[in-house]
Amino acid sequence: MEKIELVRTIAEKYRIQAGQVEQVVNEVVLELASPYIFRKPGAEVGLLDNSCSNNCKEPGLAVQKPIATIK
Amino acid sequence: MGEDTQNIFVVLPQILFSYTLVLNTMKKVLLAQLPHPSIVDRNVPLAAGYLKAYAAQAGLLDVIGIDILDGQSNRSGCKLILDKLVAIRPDVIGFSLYLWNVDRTLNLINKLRAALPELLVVVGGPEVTPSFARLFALNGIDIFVFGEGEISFVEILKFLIGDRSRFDDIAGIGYRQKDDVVINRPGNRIEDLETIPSPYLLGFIDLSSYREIMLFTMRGCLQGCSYCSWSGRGRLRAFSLDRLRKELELVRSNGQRMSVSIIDSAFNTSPLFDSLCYTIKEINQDGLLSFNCFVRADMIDRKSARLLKESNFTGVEVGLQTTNKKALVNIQRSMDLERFLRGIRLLTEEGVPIKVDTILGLPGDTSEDFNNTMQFVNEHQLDPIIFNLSLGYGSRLRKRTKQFGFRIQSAPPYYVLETNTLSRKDLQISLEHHVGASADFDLMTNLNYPVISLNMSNVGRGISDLDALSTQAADHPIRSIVILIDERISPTAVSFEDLANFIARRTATNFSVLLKGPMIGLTSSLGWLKILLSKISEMNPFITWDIHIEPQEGVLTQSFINEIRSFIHKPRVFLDFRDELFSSEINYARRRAVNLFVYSPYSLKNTICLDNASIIYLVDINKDNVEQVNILDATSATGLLIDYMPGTSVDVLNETMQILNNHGNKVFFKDWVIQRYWEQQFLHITPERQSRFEIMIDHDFNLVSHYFDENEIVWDAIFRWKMIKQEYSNIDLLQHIIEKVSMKVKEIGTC
Repeated sequence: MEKIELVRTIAEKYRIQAGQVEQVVNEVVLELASPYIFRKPGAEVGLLDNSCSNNCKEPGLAVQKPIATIK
Repeated sequence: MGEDTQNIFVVLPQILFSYTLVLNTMKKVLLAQLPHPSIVDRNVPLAAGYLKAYAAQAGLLDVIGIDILDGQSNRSGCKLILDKLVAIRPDVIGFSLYLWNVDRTLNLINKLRAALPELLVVVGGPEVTPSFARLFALNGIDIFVFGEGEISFVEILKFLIGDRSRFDDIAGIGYRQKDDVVINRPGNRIEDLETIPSPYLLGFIDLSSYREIMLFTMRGCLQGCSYCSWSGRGRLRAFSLDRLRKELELVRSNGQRMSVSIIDSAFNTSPLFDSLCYTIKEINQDGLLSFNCFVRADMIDRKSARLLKESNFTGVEVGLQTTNKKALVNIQRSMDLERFLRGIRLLTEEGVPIKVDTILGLPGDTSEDFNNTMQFVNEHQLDPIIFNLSLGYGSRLRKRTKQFGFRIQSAPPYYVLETNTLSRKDLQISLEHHVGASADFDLMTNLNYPVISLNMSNVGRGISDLDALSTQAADHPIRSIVILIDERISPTAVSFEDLANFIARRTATNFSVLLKGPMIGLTSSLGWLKILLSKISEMNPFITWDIHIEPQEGVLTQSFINEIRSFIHKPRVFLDFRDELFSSEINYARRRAVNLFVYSPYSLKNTICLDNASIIYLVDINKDNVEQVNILDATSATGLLIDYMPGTSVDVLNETMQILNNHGNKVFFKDWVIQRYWEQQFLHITPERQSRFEIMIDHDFNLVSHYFDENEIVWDAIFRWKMIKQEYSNIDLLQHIIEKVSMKVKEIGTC
């Protein structure tokens, strides 16, 4: 089932606006795949860091500083 | 009329004269800053924010509506922006001009003039100086604001609402008077920066639109480098620590990771350096915010290096520029190399990553001098960025063009192409020798392959009604179109002229086209492709183009490439001038104004050679051919586009990506989930927030469209790629989602 179909079905069933249902779907899905979705447990999490701070330059490949470890 | 009144009317330009008759009806001011063409999402309108904030403290917001063009507009192409501004119908529009948006803004001003003849146009920014004013006075600009614009801007508004009787004594501006430009006396700097309220704290800049924000802790610069438009800004003036603390707390308050650029001339010269670092340490213990800044390496000591590290500065940039003392004298820059190296060493010991700025083309530098600078950089294991000397109108060094034999580009970025000590040829050789370090090399890490084409099951189920498509498109600029072509070309319900118009009116600022089909079909489609691409480019001359061609049978010819390119009508734009110093032989996926990629199966490698096109080999990877990844070789091409079978395990992804990462070939991934995985795991970057609207057109001109954003990518990652938390790996995912959602929705219903 596609997401749009799921949202529509639930919205109709419970007579709630599709926008609200979609928000809930997004939250639930995110719980299944957490913010560290592409990381394995135990991996480090990084953050966008572009060490070129001058905004008239194009960004090169950013350097990541690990700041936390997933438990 | 009295003599005094007559004198005022003598000095007023025509358009302001008409304004004096309608003083009390003026309602709307719009401030706008167009983005850099290839990094649109980093376009934070800080200058506009300061202007509005200063007007607020002058009490003007009670009388005049001042708006700042929203962050979403950064992704809008030329036609969309124009239509938006015309719909807003401001009385006054102010543009912030920088090297990267001057050409596009001037073009926009001309079009606005035609649509809104009564509009008053004001420009400011580092490029806007009296010499710029004289050059561009006939381009539809009414008022030029020089230097720090806050005071002048407020005085202009006061005049326009009748709070001020004279215009000719407003300091720091120039204005058009018939065919001439009148330049008023220079303006004064604002000594007490606290008189400018924070645009962030006032809510004038929507932080949720950006992943990186900019902060000034001060204005001014201690150096007087003559190439820089900031030089001569005199003593340092700082904002208050309390204000900066509140700004940072505000940025932290939404709980999102953000990158904060402190864009002072050199942060460690700020009177607030120590105290702000301690404040950051205190309020940012979880590292939610990361920081970067410029520093003066020769003024770094152990304490300041340690403070930068402990305050989560994940990168700093320092200026070396050249090691040639003669060149340093020519650019009026002081440099103590020993102290510089000491500062670098301290930063390195504390673990602060450093980038070292150098400039190619400085007056007095020869090829050998530049090589010496690079040798110095290598000997000390520094990480360089090479800038081409760029001399805008705001630069004092530009006035010494004759003395140093500069040949400067006629348009931004105003690169110096040669000097009397460095020929163009030698400059180019130097640049290409160190091409990876060039600030303007602008490698594309992501081809942004359209997502919509991944779900081919939608083909044939689409709509053939532009009104319905219009509803779906809503406020979303069209980011990509995918055109599926076969031999049967039979436009039906939708004519391609109407379709071309529809798309051209809604194109995004970075636009891509994927053409997919047998060569015979592609070649037969040139007629209507010409209409489509010409229309889009004519209405959007400053967008960037990524054209992807995937021939499925037959051989792509050079003449086809040339024809497709000829359909795109655009002037020479900023990115083209930026490219001028790179030879076309550099075969990388480098972001140009028009990028054309040709996809070919890996099995045909080394058989294709095309000019003005980047060849990308297509590679399908599955669990049965993993060992072949070891021998992939794309040295004869720009790179590889890798496609994995849906559901490929994370183990196979990791194994193959590790091999690919070790190769040195440029790799891209067809699937946006996999591209995201690659960028996070192997390139160690957090990619741009996904948000795009795409259209697919099949051979019957059925249209399929979809809006994709971050939520879609998560859904896709779970269902197509099974990237889920371990505890959910054995459940019926869809059923689980339905149950959970139903439960939560019922709670909403009962509230």
